[in-house]
Amino acid sequence: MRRATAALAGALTAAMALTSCAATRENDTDTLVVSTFAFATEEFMEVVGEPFEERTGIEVVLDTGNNAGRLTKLRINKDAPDTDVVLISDYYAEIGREMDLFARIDPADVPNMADIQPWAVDPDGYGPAYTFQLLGLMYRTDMVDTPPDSWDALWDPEHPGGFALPDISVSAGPMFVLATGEAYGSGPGDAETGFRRLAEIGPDALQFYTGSTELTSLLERGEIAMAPGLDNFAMNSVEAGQPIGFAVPEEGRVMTANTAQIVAGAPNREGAEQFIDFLLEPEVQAEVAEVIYDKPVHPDAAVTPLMTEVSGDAAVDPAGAGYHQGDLRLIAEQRSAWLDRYIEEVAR
Amino acid sequence: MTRRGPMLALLVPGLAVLVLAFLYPVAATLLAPPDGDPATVARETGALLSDPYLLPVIARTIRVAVLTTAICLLLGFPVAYLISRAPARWAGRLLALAVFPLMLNTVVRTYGWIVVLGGNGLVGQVGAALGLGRVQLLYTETAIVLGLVQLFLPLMILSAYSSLAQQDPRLEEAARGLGASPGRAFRQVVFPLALPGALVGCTLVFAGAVTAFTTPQLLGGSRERLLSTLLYSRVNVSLDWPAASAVALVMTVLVLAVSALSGRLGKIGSTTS
Repeated sequence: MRRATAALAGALTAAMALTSCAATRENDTDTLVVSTFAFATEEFMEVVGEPFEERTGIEVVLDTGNNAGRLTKLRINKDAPDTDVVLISDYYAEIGREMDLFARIDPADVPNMADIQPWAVDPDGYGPAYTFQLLGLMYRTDMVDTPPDSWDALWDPEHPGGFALPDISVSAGPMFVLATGEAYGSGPGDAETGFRRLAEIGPDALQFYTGSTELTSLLERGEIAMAPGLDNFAMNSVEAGQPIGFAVPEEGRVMTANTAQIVAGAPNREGAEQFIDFLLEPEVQAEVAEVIYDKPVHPDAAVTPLMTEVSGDAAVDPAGAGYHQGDLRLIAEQRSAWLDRYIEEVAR
Repeated sequence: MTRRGPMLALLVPGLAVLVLAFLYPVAATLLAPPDGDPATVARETGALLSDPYLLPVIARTIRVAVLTTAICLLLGFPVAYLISRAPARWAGRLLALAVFPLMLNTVVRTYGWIVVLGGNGLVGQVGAALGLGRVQLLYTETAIVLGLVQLFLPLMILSAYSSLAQQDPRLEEAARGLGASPGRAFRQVVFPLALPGALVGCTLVFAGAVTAFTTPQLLGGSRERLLSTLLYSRVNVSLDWPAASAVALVMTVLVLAVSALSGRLGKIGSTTS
């Protein structure tokens, strides 16, 4: 029995040693932990991570995952943060802000913030947007006679070829609620009208897609003729010469941005500022646009021909084309209620 | 005491890993998730169990899991029986063939079903050729059950096989020699003796079907919501951890209940046979 107790004690000690090994980083200026999307990570290291390492001598470590998973991790490690920079979509950034996970940035520490498109600078002083995606209609060019120029196409009683809608779990979902409210209701915050109009067509939708690959697969196999989606979803298909197009609606132009946030209490705050400044440099933005298809927010960074082919002028100057971010505070506050409403009223 | 000492010492490392790496995190996420405490989780569980829009989700989850388990048993047990009675040199190869679906990536396997079941897929084309119009099996409960059966059939075959292979085939021969029909020999000798394996298979398939995520998400879509896809939305969209814990709690209770039931059935089976 005594031996068993000794063994238990040994096991516990070993376990505790292991957990304390995942040591907390304090004032660690040699490394920078960047939490980012689990998408094109090698390319990201090639055009952002490694050039940054070369310039500053700071080692970049990526921590990848989806928006919600990474936010949860930050929330759990709130008291002893091990991450410095978080690249995260605007909606999840808003939730993170509510949870006090992010720090405000002094524009003087990130000089490039002075030159980027004005909408990309956060009015409350948090991290800036470094790229954006436009909500529009993805459609089969061979199944739709004229490119749809309005959200009306989805309410066409004929629904030629069928259509899909975004699930509320993908960023296009809440954006589409707001876009519908704006196009048919009193303005950008009119979610009531958005839900009411969506409830009309929900039963006719073939599917509520939960990912970009699911949507492109539905379109490429001709199961549907159109669906609201983000312009980035269409880029691969258009580049590959598939009969798929992206149309910008006349009214209800909503976009989403990916933002770069500094974690509150980041172990390498200065490195984090340098990294975000680097990410906003015109050369880096142009390179990222070329390799990862992220549209630049720095006016001096060239937009690729593919981007303008897909989204037109809005790819260059979204605000000038009437695009704007949704009311993030509203979406964040209402997120549980909207999820339930979507299940009950729309995805029937 | 002298024997127990070493026994415990051997058990402790494994137990320590289980407690630290499984029990503690599971209990913590279920009962006290980030931004929540047991009281909030209890309130959310109550809300879940009384929401008229969410009760059908629970009902659908149970229905899909029970159907999947029943079909797996019906299809898997005979296969396991045949493999167990096949010549030894074939048994290995046949088993490898049976578990092959387990080696495929779920996403790949599921996209295969989308190609078959979609309106423009195989089923759609056959339906159109037969003049049935546009047949859309994709995004229905049927599609979820089909996908889950394919996913979990190997588990049933393996579990049933493990029981059947230990059976002495001469017992069945003896029953036949004493005048039992093939059906009666199967019902009264083969099946009761293989019951423990079949029950383990049922428990595994049921637990798998309740908790599976990718298959129901891709084949069922948002309309045919199950507890697992609801859990995903609550974690990933609303980031409402107490509400997500409530869903996880219901799923855990479901799986534990079925596991207890199958344990009970196994005992009854072993005392009556």
